[in-house]
Amino acid sequence: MSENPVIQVEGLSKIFRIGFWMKQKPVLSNVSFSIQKGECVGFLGPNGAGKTTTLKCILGLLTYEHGRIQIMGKDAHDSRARASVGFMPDNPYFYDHLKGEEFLDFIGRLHSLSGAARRRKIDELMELVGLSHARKLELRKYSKGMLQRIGIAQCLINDPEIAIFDEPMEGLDPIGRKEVRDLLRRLNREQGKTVFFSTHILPDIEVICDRVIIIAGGELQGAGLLSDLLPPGIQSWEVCFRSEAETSARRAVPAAHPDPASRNHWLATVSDSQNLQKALASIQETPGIEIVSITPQRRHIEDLFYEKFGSGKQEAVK
Amino acid sequence: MIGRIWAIALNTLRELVRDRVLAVSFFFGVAITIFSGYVAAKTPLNWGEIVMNVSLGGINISLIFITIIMTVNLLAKEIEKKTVFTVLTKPVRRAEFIFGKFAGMLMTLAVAIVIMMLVVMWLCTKSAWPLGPVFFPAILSIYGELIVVAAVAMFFSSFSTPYVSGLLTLAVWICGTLAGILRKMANVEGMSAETLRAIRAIYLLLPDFSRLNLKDRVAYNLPPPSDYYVYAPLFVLAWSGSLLLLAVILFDRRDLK
Repeated sequence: MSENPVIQVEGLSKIFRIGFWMKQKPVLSNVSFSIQKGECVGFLGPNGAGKTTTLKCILGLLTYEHGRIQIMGKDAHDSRARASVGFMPDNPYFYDHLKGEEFLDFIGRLHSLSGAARRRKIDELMELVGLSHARKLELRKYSKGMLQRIGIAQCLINDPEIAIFDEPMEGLDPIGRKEVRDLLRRLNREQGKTVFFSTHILPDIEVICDRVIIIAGGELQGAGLLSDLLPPGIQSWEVCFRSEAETSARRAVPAAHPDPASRNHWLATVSDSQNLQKALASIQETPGIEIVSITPQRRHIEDLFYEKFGSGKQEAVK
Repeated sequence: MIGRIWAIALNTLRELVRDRVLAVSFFFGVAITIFSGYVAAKTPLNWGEIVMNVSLGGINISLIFITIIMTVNLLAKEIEKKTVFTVLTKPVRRAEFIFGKFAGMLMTLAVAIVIMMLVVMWLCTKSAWPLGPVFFPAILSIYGELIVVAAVAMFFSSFSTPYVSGLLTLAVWICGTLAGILRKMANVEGMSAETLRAIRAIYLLLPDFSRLNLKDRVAYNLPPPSDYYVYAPLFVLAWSGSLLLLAVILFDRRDLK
């Protein structure tokens, strides 16, 4: 790993002051992490964990009580530090009175791009995000997916070293999610950009990220490579078989339970290959039963997340 | 820096011009101007005097309201619609953002006042009433007043809600319009030293808009006071500059949640 992180957060603490009496509410406590050049890092946490607050501190939208944040070696308070950053907020809200290309032109001007550079980038990005047909359309007429895509385009107009996305897949339909996911992957793997994004849509993490940082209750809960967090190999098998009689199914595999998705189908989970052999032999010996499928089960980030924060554990973290 | 301020200013101008509220306000101002011509035609008094008083007064008041309503919403709307996140996460300083929004507001007001001025000029030309030499300085003085009112509104909205900012700005404008009375009171003999000090202190805290006012002089074709061309620009620069500076300091510390 490189010695010079592109983002370095050290001991970050943030307190919100709420209401007339400015009651203090700590939202981040001693959060530290770093992101290296070229990484794709997922920032995970349940709702209200402090993901957006951390991103806003990095981007200079929020002040903070303690800690230090550096972007490409520059203090995050320095507006020049953001010259190498592209950011897309969650639920992107843009100037809806502007047309698509006017909006990108405005963002290009904020990055002090020349007129020629702006025109070239607008053409290129509109093409990249598939909005060439809508460049003269006002943003108020854009669909949610189109807004998400123009959000990505504005994030990339300065050809940033670091692209930060806050919940980029939020509220998108499956097609939109796949498109955004593919785009993030392309940015990271083909263009070599550092991608840092927060999300609570866990399956996407495994597809895109090299590493995850987990936060909950305003505190860092863990960080690491996905390959370290999720042990490789098969954790268990799920056997699906058909049996019209419950007694036969129970006799073959006592731990089996009906498949809620298919009538006369039964499911059984077995932990290792020895038990799998036993279960298969028992099913074959029992008349009136036939095997439908055997599916190897791997551990997913969702399982890890549920273990940490599921069923009220989130409250315990808070 | 100038490029970024200019970009924000142009975007603000575009947004305000495309805003329906602005169109409605324009209509309101133009209606007052035309109404003044109608009132003047119905009265036996001096036609030009009535038109100038009513229309310039109408322009002034309608633009003051437009200024207050639009300026107090400039920052609030950006924060509420979260568009500020898109701008301030770019290499843009908060001071540049404030100056850009303010400059966009001033350009919008310039467009508004020019349109209203053209309506008054049309009315006068149509009625063969000659415009005196004080007409244009009077229009500029209204614009100067709008600049200061916009700066007051920007200052309050840098830390407060649009509703509160609007009320406070309106209060400052009313008090500023009446500040001339305080100035005269400070010269009245027979008051105690404490009262005089209090009056002077309050006077210093208020922009004395009465010193910018040339509307009455237009009707009678009187020239502005001799020191007007020095005093008026300094007044506008000093008040708007210091209020904007305070707005920048306050907005710089504000958390954008």
